[in-house]
Order: sequence, then structure tokens, then C-alpha cells
Amino acid sequence: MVDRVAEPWGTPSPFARQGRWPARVDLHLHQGIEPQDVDRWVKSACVLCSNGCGLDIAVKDGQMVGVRGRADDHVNRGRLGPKGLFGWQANASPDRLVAPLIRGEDGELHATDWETAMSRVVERSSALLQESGPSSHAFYNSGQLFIEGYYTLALITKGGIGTIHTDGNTRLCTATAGQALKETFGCDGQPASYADIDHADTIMLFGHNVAETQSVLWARIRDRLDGANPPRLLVVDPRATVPAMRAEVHLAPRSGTNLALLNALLNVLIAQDRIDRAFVEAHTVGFEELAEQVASMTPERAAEICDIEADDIRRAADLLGDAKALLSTCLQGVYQSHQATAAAIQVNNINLLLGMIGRPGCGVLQMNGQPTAQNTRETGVDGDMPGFRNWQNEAHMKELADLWNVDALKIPHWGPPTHAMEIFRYAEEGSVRFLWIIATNPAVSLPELDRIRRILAQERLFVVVQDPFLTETARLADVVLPAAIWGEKTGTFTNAERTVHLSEKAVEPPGQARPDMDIFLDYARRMKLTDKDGQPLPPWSTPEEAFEAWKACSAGRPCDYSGMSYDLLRSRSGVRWPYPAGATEEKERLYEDFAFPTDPSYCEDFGHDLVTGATFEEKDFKAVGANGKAILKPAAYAPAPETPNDDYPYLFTTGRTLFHFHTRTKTARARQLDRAAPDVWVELAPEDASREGIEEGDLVEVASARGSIRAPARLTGSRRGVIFAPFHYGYWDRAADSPGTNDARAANELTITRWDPVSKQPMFKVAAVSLSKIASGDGRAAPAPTNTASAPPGRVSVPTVGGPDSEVVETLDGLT
Amino acid sequence: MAQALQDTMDAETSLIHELRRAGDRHVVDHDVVSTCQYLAERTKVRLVALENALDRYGGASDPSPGWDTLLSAPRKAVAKARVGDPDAAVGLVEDLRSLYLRAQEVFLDWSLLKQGAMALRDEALLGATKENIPEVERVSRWAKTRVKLAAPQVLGRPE
Repeated sequence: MVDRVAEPWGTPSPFARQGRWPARVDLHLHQGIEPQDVDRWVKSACVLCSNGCGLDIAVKDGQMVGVRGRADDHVNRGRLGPKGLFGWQANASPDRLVAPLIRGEDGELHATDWETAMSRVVERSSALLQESGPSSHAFYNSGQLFIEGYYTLALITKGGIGTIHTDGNTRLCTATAGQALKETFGCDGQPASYADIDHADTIMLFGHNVAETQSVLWARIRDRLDGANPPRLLVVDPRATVPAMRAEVHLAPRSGTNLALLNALLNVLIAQDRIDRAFVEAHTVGFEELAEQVASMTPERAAEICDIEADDIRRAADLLGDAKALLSTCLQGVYQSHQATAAAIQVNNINLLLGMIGRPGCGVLQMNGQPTAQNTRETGVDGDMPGFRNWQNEAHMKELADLWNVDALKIPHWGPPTHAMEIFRYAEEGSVRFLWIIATNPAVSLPELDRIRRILAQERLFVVVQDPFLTETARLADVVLPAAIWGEKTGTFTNAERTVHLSEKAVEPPGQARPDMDIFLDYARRMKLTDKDGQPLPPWSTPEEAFEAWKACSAGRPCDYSGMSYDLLRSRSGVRWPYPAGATEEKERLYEDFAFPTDPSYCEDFGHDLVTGATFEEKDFKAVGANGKAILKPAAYAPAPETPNDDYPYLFTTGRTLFHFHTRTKTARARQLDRAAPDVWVELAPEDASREGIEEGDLVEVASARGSIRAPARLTGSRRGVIFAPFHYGYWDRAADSPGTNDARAANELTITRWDPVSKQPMFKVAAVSLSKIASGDGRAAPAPTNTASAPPGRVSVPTVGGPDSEVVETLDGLT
Repeated sequence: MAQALQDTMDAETSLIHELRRAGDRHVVDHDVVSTCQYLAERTKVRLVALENALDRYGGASDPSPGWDTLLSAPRKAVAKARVGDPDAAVGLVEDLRSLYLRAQEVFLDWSLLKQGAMALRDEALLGATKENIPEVERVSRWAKTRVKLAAPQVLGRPE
């Protein structure tokens, strides 16, 4: 038995390069339940990060009683992370929403029945459509639904209602990943797979604290580092993360300077001619422009901008230049920072210049944050069109219209679907008046919360919130619809490396809660949405029918699911797309033939100006002349929109902790996870703390031009001048619904309303703040974990442990 | 040639003015603010290049109508778009539309300078045009993208 709060990554199982990652089956059951007591094991996969670990849900007497990793799943080989092991308990939380709520005359939310709630929704929706047209409606969804729910919503919003305003909270997590892939390769689609970790001789983690964001993926990298022929590791992160501690080279640049650093790495690789010129010549376009752009970004110049040593930049470039098989990854340190898309593209460019793509151990993982974010992108309920179709391509739009049997003009495609920040802007100005929010919590997760709360609270805005819990956002709604969640409904979803899992219904949803897809279909039927022939839209009513419809939509596109079926997904544990009709084998990685989807008639996107986000048109894209080659796009570094100044001398960045997900709606309702990180903290570098007279545990106030928060200070190994706070903590488990000046704790009180010009991903990593001490902590440590990037330097007085209820049975290659 | 350079400077000066006006006016459209600020800074760089060229063509002694005066003059107070006003979107469309047209004028002026530089075999000016024309195209490309996104929200409402 292993305490998996104390040891989040579990028992090591080292393996050699090109070896097979040993299986280790992790099992956690309610205390007092033994494996032989379990009635049924129901096949599923984890939804508490983008890794998508295959697992079985244990059911006894109609209740979930535990989980067990699946040894036959290539994603995790039996392992589960702490969130997967304990997070399922939230399903049975006593404060689940069990009935719809509507706001009464008294201004309060009251429980009601579905008929009353949906009638209210439909009445408002119909009236507004009549009065103001489809552009009065917006649907802000999630990275948490299943394919079946997303695709149903895509058809209802685009083919039924006809609004262009749909986006997912994937805008905050994975929009840049998708956009960087589109700009470089012409289309979304993860080039590499997790199997490439087993083959790589060099791994670069750029702004990707994998040990906490995808803990099982880190277990795989750690097991390689502990085995024979370990990979060399380069980590770029302002914090002393667990991977950074294992890195051969760790760079901690000033927040907001990623592009300068990446351009300097490219500068050295090109100047020292350590690139694969034959590959570049044969399979890319744009090399001359790229070389010209990075020529002036010498290591010395970048060192000054990033506030790191030029020699360290050279060491990092050497490490990349020496690679025989380079796997590069990035996540929020890039995506939620300044010049996000431009920087993420340079990571693609490094691999392309080295010719390291499409071969074992060689590739790029532009990571996702959420478990089903990939499907938001594929089905087109974010800023994309279904099946990675191009909104500027009339033939693609006609395909969709034919598929749905609607008029092509019905489908809004005068631009890309509206991004989340613009949806909230339209709601603010009053042209969006019906906002349906599904499985996301913008009142905690969007930047500048005071503004977001003001927008949501407007009388003229009708807000529908569909969620399993009464979140901070739900408290501002006019109608709240209780949703069934993972384990209570059947559906499919796809992880960050294209692996599709079927998650079967294990237990009944509580009370009147209903699956998201069923709620959308109920709305569509009540709105009498029909196709050209008067048939109901969408035409399906079961998850499997929805999946079959999605297969047809994906057929012939890069994300081809048409060879899959529920039966196939039941017979295997995880199948990667593309899997076209007739396929028997899945492809481990894309672009093994170095043929990239940049044909103008096939590509998903014609690209953008990386500086302003201006859209390129078909003629511009044709002029690039990629036609099957990858596109090397350069971009010049520019300073971040907010930099430290006299009033706000520090840089503020937000991020995750291992033990929580999102706004803790599930993780805080699992006692092991809640205890491991029970309340907010802020991290300071010791030199900054000593300058301000702050000691571990002291209560401090961090303030920006937008707001302030108070939290105990944790002294960590962060770079000087940077203050970090986890963004998970809001107000639902506090007494008051919204914060006063003394009890504000949501990190997004401080963040800035700015976004990347290309991916439109908000900038959570760059805000100027002030720091002051409010009260002494009297020697009590901050409530931050001690076994993560939040660890204090030196000896830990009170280590993070879980206790008896955090014990997990690990069965390593047959031995307990 | 001096006149052509002066005309281009005048057009660029008007462009800066419009960029600043749009940025000042649409404070609640955060991408418009940041992009206009950035593009205005880039426009200043182009004006310096034009001024250097004008020096060589003997036009420097007559800076009227004087872009530097215009730039240093106190910026006229503009009616700021209000946070909750749907009509602000109409103003945004108008401002982006005129920004696009102004950028097109600047683009044409620079294109004429390029023609002149080729006819005169002026390599320095030719280099400047090659460097700066893509920057001017960037302004119109962005204004066009942005106005095309903003317009349907205004025009798409039933009468």
C-alpha cells in the first residue's frame, strides 16, 4: 500500500530507452471494501486532466466504490494519479444539484422541475430570436463533456439556432495548442504520441509542469530518467518544479519573454548549422524568413530580455542540437503567456529545423489541459468548425450543410466562431442577451473577475448554467440545469495524444440530473429545430447514434473516426485516431510520411499574422506555397502589455497544483485532495520575501490594477520578482458568494483582460502586482503542498501526507 | 519625389491619428486598444524612415503640415465608448472601416514611392519601401479582419 498523497507519482518502475513501460495497476476502493465485494467493473477513463488514463469504475449496490487503472491501456499501463484515484468521490457529494433551479420574483434561486425550467429557457430563447436574431445567443461550453454532447451542441447552435457565438473554456486551456498546430501544419492534430517518450533521447518541457498537470505522464518520463539510457531533459519554467529538479538544463526566464528565448535557441541552432538542411529543404517552407527573423536575437540579447545567463541559453541550444530523437512539449507556461501562439510555433520550428518529427521519439506534443478539450476542437463548439473544417472554404461548409441537411447559409461562417473573451464583451455591451454556460465556471476562471461578475449579474442578460454543482457562476444564473457527469452517462472522449476512450455509464445520476446531451436535445425539440425537410434536428437521440453521426462528420478529415464503433472501443482500451473505415491498426504518430495537411483545399486554416491576428485569405495561403510542406513561421519578440513598474513592482503568474483541477468543483469534494491543498497560498522567492520582511506563513496582500487577494505566503524556489498563486480557489465553499476586500482569494481577481491575438487565449501569466505583508503567520506554514513545485526550499517541517484513506494498492508487473 | 514623400507622411500622420483615436475610444474592446497602440508605434517608425528620405530630397526644410506638431499636440478628448452600450459596436465598425481605408491610402502612397525609387535607382528608398510596405499591409489586413468580425453583430439584427 502506498500513500498516494504523500507519493503522488507512486512507486517507480524504471525502464530503458525503447523498452516497454512496465504495467503497474493502481487500485483504490472505499475503506472497508475489498475487490471481491465489487459487483461490477465499468470501463471508462479518467476525466481529471488531459492524459485520459484508462480505468475501471468499481460499482457496488448501485454506488461507485472505487477505481482501478487498466494495465492494457497504452496511455497509463494501469497507473492513476491522485486526482483519478480520489476524485470520483465527488459524484456522490451531498451537495450535487438534484433539481433544476429558477430565479424567482424574490431574486433567489428555487428548486423546480424540468418542465418549468426548460419552459423558462425556451420562452426567453424564442423571444430573443424573434426580437434580435441568432447573434443574441451565445453558448460557452467546456473541455469536460463527451463527444456526443459536443457534437449535439455543435449541430444545434450552428445548424439549428444559427449563432456564431460558441466557444469552450478550452479557450483558456488549449486554444493555442490547436492554433499553433494549424499555423505550422495547416491543421489541428497532435503530431506525436506518449509512446514517443519511450523512444526520445532528449525531452524539452517548455512551460509545462507535467508532474502536476499530467502526473501519470510525468511518471512515464521519470521512469525513463531512472532507467537505462535516460533522456536528457531541458525544462523552461519560472518555478522550481519537480521536472526542473531533474533537468540537465533548467531555464527560468522572466514571465512574458518566451518568444525571445525561443528565437535565441533557433538563432544558435541555425548559426552553428546544427539543423537538418535536407529535411528543411524537402519538407518545409519559410526557412529564409525564419533565419532572418532570429538572426538578431543572440543569446546575449535574449539573456538580457529574459534575465537569465547567455551561457545557459547556449547550453540549452547545445542540448537540443545534440539530440538524436527530440520530443518537445509545451503547455500553459506558453499558452497562457504573452505572444502565446508565436512562441508555441517556435517550438514546432525547433523540431522541424532538426528534422525531428514523424519518427519514433521525435515530435511535438502541443498539450491540452482538459480531458476532452480535444473534442471541443474536433466537433467545433469552440472557435473551430466540425471535423477540422475551414470556415473560409465554401466546399467544406457545403459538406457540413449537406451532412446536416440544412441550408449552407444557415451555418454562420462569416468568420471563425466567436472566442470566449469576445462573447463576454458582447454580453457586456448588451448585444448578447442569452448566455448558456455549460460545465465551466467563468466567475472564477476568467481574467479580471470583478468585470466578469458584473457582466453575469446584468438584469438584461439571461444566463443559463448547466452544471453538476452550484458553482460561483451558477449562483448568478437565471436558470440552473443539473447535469449528470462522468460515470453517470455513456460517451466517448479523446486525450491529448488522440486516444479515444468509451466511458460507460456506471451508476444512475442523482435526483433529476440529466446527461448534457439529453438536455441539449430537450432544448432542440422544444425549440422545434428541424432540417430542410422538416425532420427533427439533431436526428439522433442516443449516445451511440450521436457517435455514429460524428463518425460521418469526421470521415475523410484528419481526425477520422469512421472506422471506430462503440463495440471496437469496448473491445480495446483506447484507440487513436485517425482510424478511417476499414482500419485495423492505429497510427502511433502523425506525419510519418512527412506529408503535412497544408493543401489549400484540405487545410483547416489559412493562417494569421502572428502580430495582430489578422486573418490570411486563400490567396495569401496559396502564395505561401506550402502544398504538403510544413510552414516555418517567424515572429519578433515584443514586450508584454504589462511589465513591473513603481506601483506594481512584481510579476504575477497563476497556475495549477497537483491536487486540484479547475475551480475544485470535484477535487475539493474528495477529502484526500482537499486536505492536501485546503486553501489558497501565494509563492514568493526567498529574496523577495526577505526584502519585504515576509516569512513563511505570513498573510500577504497581492494587488494589481484590477483587484487584490490575501493569502498566506509560501517561500519557494521561484525566480526572483515572480509571484505565483494557484487559480483553483474561489468562493463556493466560503460564507459569502462574492468576495469583500479582506477575503478575496481567487487569483483571477488580479489578472488582466488581454489575450493572444491569434489564439485569443487570455493572458494569465503576466500581470504587474504589488506585495505587502498584512499579518504575521506566527510560524504556521502556508497551506501549500510540500511535495510539488510549491515545496519550500530546504527541510520540510510538516510534509504533505494523506493518511490511511489515501492508501492505494499498486500491483507492479504482477507483484503487490 | 519630395512631394510624394510629404504626401505619404501626411497619410501616415492621419493613420496614427486614427489609430490613436480608435484606441482611445474603444477602451472596452481590449484587443483593439492593444493592437492600435502597437500599430501606432510601428507607424512612428515608418515616419522616421520617411523623414530621412525627405532629408535627401531636400524637403526637410518645409515640414508643414508637420506631423511632429500634430503628434505632440494634446490629443483631442474623444467620446469613450461606454461599457454597456450596444451602440458602441456601431462606432467600432465605423472607426475600423475608416482605419482600413486610411491604411489603403498609405499603402498606395508607399507603392508609388517604390515605383519612384525604382525609376530613380534609389536603393536606400527602395529598401525602405520593401521593409515598410508589409507593415502597412498588416494594418489594413488587421482592420479588415476586425471590422469583418464586428460588422455582423451590428448588421445582423432584424430591423
